[in-house]
Amino acid sequence: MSSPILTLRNVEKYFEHGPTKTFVLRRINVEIKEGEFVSIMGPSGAGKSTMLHLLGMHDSSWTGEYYLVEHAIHKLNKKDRMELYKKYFGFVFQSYHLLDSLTVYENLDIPLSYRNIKKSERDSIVCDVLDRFQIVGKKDLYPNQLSGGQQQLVAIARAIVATPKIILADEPTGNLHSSQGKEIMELFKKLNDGGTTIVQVTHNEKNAEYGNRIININDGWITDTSS
Amino acid sequence: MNALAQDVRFALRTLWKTPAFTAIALLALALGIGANSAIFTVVNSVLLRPLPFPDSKQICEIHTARFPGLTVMDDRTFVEFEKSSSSFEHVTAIQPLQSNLTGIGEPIPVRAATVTPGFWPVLKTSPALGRTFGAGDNPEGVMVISDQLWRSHFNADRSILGKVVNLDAKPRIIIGVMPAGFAFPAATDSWTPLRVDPQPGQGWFYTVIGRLKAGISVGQARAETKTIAQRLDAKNKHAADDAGVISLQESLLGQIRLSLYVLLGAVGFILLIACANVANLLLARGASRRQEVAVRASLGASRMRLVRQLHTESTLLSLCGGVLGLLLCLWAVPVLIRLTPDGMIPRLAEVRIDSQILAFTFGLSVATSLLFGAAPAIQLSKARLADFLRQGDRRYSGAQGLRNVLVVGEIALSLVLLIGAGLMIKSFALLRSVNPGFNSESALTMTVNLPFNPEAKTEQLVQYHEQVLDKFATLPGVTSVGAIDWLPFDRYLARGDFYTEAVSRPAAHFDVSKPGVTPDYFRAIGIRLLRGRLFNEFDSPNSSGAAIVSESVARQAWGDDDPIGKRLTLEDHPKPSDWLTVVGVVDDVKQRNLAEKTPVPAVYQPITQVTRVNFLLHMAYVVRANGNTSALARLIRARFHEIDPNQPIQSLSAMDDLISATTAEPRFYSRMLGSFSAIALLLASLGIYGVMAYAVVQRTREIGIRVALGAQRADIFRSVMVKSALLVLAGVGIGLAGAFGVTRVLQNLLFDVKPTDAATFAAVSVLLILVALIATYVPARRATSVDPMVALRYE
Repeated sequence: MSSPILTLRNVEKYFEHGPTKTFVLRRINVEIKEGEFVSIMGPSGAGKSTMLHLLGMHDSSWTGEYYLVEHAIHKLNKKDRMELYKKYFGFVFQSYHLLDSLTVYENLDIPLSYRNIKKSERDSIVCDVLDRFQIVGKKDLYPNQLSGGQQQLVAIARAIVATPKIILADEPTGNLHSSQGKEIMELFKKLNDGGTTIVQVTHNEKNAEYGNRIININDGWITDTSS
Repeated sequence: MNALAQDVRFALRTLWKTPAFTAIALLALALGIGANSAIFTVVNSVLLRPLPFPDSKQICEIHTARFPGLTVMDDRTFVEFEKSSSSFEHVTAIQPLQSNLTGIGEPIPVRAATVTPGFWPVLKTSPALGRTFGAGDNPEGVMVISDQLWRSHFNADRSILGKVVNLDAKPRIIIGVMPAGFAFPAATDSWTPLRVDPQPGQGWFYTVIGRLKAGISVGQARAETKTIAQRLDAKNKHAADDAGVISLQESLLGQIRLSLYVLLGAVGFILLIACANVANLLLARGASRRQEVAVRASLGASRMRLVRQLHTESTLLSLCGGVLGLLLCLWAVPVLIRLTPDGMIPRLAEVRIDSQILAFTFGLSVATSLLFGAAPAIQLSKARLADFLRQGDRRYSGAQGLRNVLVVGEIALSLVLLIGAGLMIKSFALLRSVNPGFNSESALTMTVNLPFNPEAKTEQLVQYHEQVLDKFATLPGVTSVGAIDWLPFDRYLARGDFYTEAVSRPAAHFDVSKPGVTPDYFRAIGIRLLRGRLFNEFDSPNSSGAAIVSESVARQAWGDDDPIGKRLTLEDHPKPSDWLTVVGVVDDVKQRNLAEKTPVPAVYQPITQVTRVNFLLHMAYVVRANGNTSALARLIRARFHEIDPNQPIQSLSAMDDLISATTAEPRFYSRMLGSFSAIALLLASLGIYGVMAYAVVQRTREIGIRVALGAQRADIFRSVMVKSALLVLAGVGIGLAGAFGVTRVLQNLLFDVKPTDAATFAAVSVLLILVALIATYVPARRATSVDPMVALRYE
């Protein structure tokens, strides 16, 4: 394992209601090294997903310091953050969030299009990923024609199509059967073995066992970090 | 390019997947864009496109005298002007005529013009066949015809040149055919030479146009014209007051400019309302697309890219709406031309849909997409990612404020349009209810223009007309017949002074019409005799001159004194035989149109005592019958041609139709504005229905909770209706304020109605409020049927 790829220092997030502040995250200090497979666990409402979305730069209203490799995210503007996001991250959602009006092929193509990659290159990359995930036969189907497991597979394929260094996964097996969930976790393991840093939010202890570290959060505080 | 192609593909697919939304949006856009393109087609051809003559900006209308609705120059002034003006390359005098063309089969009336040789170099238009006439041509012997006449009555015969036809019973050789579309003055079919030859004791007035020399401005030409006019009438200090020069385009357009811009403004309102409707639809649809937009942003789409993609959908929608609008325009323009009353809009024959209209429609489509698409696209792209990417958070009620603003705007715009239409309709109704002073029901009128024959005598002409009337009197159902040379509501009217005997200088000097009539004319047309008697067989050429005056003449000339037996003359320097004795007083009648503020006073003479031959050439016969007159028209035509088979009939119509023709213009505007405001009302109603329906859907959970807490259905119904009523009242308030300012432009188009007529404003506001509340009724009813158990599981 090498140097830290994600570092949070004294990060806090709260909502203000008049004079009162309701904290969602409190004094979060975390370091995630490159190549790690980290699981964030905790009860409902603890702040797990909030932290994950903060790491994925979906949320910009927080305080503290956030370093992505050597980039000080807290000092960057929205545009620069977006550029770094595109370069480093892939996101997997619990509800898959595939685009219903696009085919499987197009869902994989769209992140590459947003990264201004030429069409010929995109075609080649998408075909390669379809093959890798063994979903070539499904490339012209729409999400509503796939099972839950197949949709999540496509969602993971979409998350890695631009070869991100980090995958953030929010309850990736939350809406799946256990057998489908096992397949997905095996896939994550394989990606991690290939060098991709993975941070997942999960309730499932079996899923957490695929990782090499667990961060526990309760009421917005990190309570412990165990390997 | 690739990304654009991707966006277009996705946009097409998205629109295809939501057919109801797409259909409604396309319909609204097609109506808005199509209506604008149609009216702009007319505005472009009539107002914006230069006249169809080379360097048409150099052509001006020149006048030294003004009459109601006319600016002209007299013959003496023209002769001097042509010699001494240094501002114009060429000038020409024009006299439009109604002529009869015979020698080609059935005789036909034609619109003709006699013109001086300068006509052709002023307009710089060469004939398509043959030549035009010049100073060396025999003014009695040649004529040039229009392309339209050549095709319709000569089968486009290329050997037409040299053919001899009779125009007003005079043989003429056709020497030229003008190119298609050339018809100046409006709708003219033949041109013959005019020799301006002022004679003592006579005066003719002409329309005069000229082509400015290079480097001479209209202002300079105007100054020179005033100088010449003053020099020619040096004793009259105000001789130059009525002299002027304006561009020919300006003189042709006159009042119509305002009217066309009013129509363009009205369809502009429709487009704005359509845009607001579509924007509202997009905002509502946007709520269900928030998550999609958030996912796209999380996949790396920049805000610009998101806005571009969303805007591509709007642009595609707008362009498709534009194509449908263009099809609507292609249908609407010929219909509009057909519905336009004759002569109301100059240059109507030149109206066509061309590349300029295509460019306008395209440009308007693009502008429309910005108008309705920008706000929803920007609104939607402001996705707060975290809120929409989390599991289960589908609640969104954003943009409701913007939607409310749009609906209030739609209501306001609709109200302004509706008030405009209401004012025009009220004006038209008031106009139509005006009493013309005679009874137009069951009366037919037939007009002829007999050819000028220098050897004809007045007695022969009188005998001719009496023979025609005798024939008409024996037709079945006819109760009375009469004739008049200047029929009310006809195109022509002779006016002049009259003098009473009271003093040697004209004391009762005011303008009167001077028609000659047959004895039964008043009975036939239904003008009331107020005092004295009507003309009879004793009013002959040899008896002393008799006159019947209208009531206003009697009052003006003799006040409360009995006018019967008083004497007057229609001549400036009367001989003893020119004095007429008043034998009767009749009601005043409207002469030109129902909108005349004061009727034109009239001094009637029996036609047997008319001394000028040319006053008996143009005659209108009035035939009153029992009941339906439609079959009678055929009989009248046939009976007339038994007497004179070679004389064309100028016109044959019911008196009611003649009056209708003079109200055609206000009727046209009422119909147009009425139709536009009906469309606007429909769109605005759909708008408010859409907003309220969406608001009810958004409030389903809240309504469910309220019901679960004890709210009655009536409470729910009331809350929805009150919310809608507030929006409508806000719109009506803003609309009323706007209407107070905007309707002033209609001032000159209204009859007897103020542009801020309170009754119209109030009635239209109430109508709009009612319609809007009806549009709210369905969503309100739907809100009362929300099941709290279902609503609370809504998430």
